[in-house]
Amino acid sequence: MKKIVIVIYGKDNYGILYNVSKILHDYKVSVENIRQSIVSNYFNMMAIVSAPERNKYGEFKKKLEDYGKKSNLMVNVMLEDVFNAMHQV
Amino acid sequence: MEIISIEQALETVEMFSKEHLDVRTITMGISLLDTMTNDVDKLCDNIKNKLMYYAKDLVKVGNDIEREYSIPIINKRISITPMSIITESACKTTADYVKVAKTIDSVAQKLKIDFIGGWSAIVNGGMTKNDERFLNAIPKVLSKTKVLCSSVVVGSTKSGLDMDAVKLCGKIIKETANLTKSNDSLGCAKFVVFANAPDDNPFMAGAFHGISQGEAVINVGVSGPGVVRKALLEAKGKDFTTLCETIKNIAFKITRVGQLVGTSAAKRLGVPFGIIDLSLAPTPAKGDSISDILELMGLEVTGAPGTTCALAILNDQVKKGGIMAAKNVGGLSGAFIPVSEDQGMINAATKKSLTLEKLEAMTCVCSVGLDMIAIPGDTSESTISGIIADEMMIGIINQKTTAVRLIPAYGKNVGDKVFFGGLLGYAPIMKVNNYSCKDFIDRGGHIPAPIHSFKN
Repeated sequence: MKKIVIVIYGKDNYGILYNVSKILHDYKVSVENIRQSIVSNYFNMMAIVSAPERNKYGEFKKKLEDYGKKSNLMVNVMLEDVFNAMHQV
Repeated sequence: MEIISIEQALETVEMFSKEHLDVRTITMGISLLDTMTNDVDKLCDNIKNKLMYYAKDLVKVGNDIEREYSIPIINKRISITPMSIITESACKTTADYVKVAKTIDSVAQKLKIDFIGGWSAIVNGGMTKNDERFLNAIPKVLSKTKVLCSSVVVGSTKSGLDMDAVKLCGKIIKETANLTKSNDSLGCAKFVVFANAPDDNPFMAGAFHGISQGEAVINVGVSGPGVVRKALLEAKGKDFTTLCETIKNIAFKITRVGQLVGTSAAKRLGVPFGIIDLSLAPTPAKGDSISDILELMGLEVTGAPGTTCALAILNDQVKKGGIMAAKNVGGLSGAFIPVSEDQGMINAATKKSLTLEKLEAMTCVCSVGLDMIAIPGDTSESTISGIIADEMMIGIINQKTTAVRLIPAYGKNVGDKVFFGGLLGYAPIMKVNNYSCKDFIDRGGHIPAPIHSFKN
């Protein structure tokens, strides 16, 4: 199964990583690479994670997006193919 | 996977979320050659079965890809074999044509696709008796259908320009405007006149599945003026070499998205992937405008001196960047300059910086032609034919595709506006030079193909 890229940014708050990790854990998704920084009070994160169980991708994506909406964060969940296509010759 | 940087990830995400990057259309081309028969009802049945067989999952697959990849796919469309060929034996009257057209339209609506193109005739070498009947029925067909699009190819570099067909097209456009007057003459937005039309164009209203094409195919049209605009903001004040490189780089990225979507759609639908059309297609959304790009290059308002040069740069660099990113390039490929579908163009036309004549000059270097231009409702048939003849000759002489999609809005005049809604937008009525060309158009006959040497 393909890998997934999660990009999150928005005003920093307590527990963003905690809440995101909890969702990843619920779907048995492991983090393969993660970069996170805070620039002038703005939270930036990109993670490459393994795929959730078969047929759970849609549900997993929605969970993360719902969390983003609730917490006023921009949450984008995309298959790695899009990034590979765009940034690799 | 080589890890991508946060900056690259954010760039990609922002292209979709803020700069309106989308795949404009996945268009399934379907050959209807094997549906031909001499019985109208049987023909309708055959067409229905064939379209349902190949396209039944088109919308579902489009939506699935959209959800999975988080890439907006705005339209799902079908193009079919030019219908003047398919209807040749079965249709004898306008009522017959309308019956077939309504069948296609209702299948398309049942499939929930956005547009179906191919109510088309190719008459650049001259019209058959059936072609003439077919063309004369177009206004009725367009007024009785919702998503069916029509086109007529009247000229080509290899065969010249059929002036009888050009004359007839003026009449078709006027009649269509009258028959659809309750909708601001919307029927005309679904009718295009072409020179050198490509066989594999995924964009409407001019898409058809040419007879050189295979059984079924998936073609993709990308979009992305908003993304180019953002990239150019960062190249402000830099020299032309940098400007060209910036457009080329971004065109590569946009096209890669189209390639990904097209390959995936073709695989899921079990048909070959055809071509990517590299055209930048604007929408009325703020910032998703070709005109904005031209102005960012350094023009006060689109239409000012320098506009044609700026458009030529854009067109050429989009092709150069896109060619390398795509496996197969085709269709129209370049930059569209429809007036009503582009807020920047609308503004420039309202300010009278952009005139019909300047647009005509711009079409010498853009991907298509005079597109979605509203003109006064009382413009005569022969004047419309004259505009068509001019535009076709630009294509024929310069060996490029040109097209005309004019809307002589019934009952409206310069200063008024017409509203089409959705992707088609709205348009100010533009001034037309009304000195007569009637005697010129009335000559009829055929203009021979141009010489291909001694280019000056």
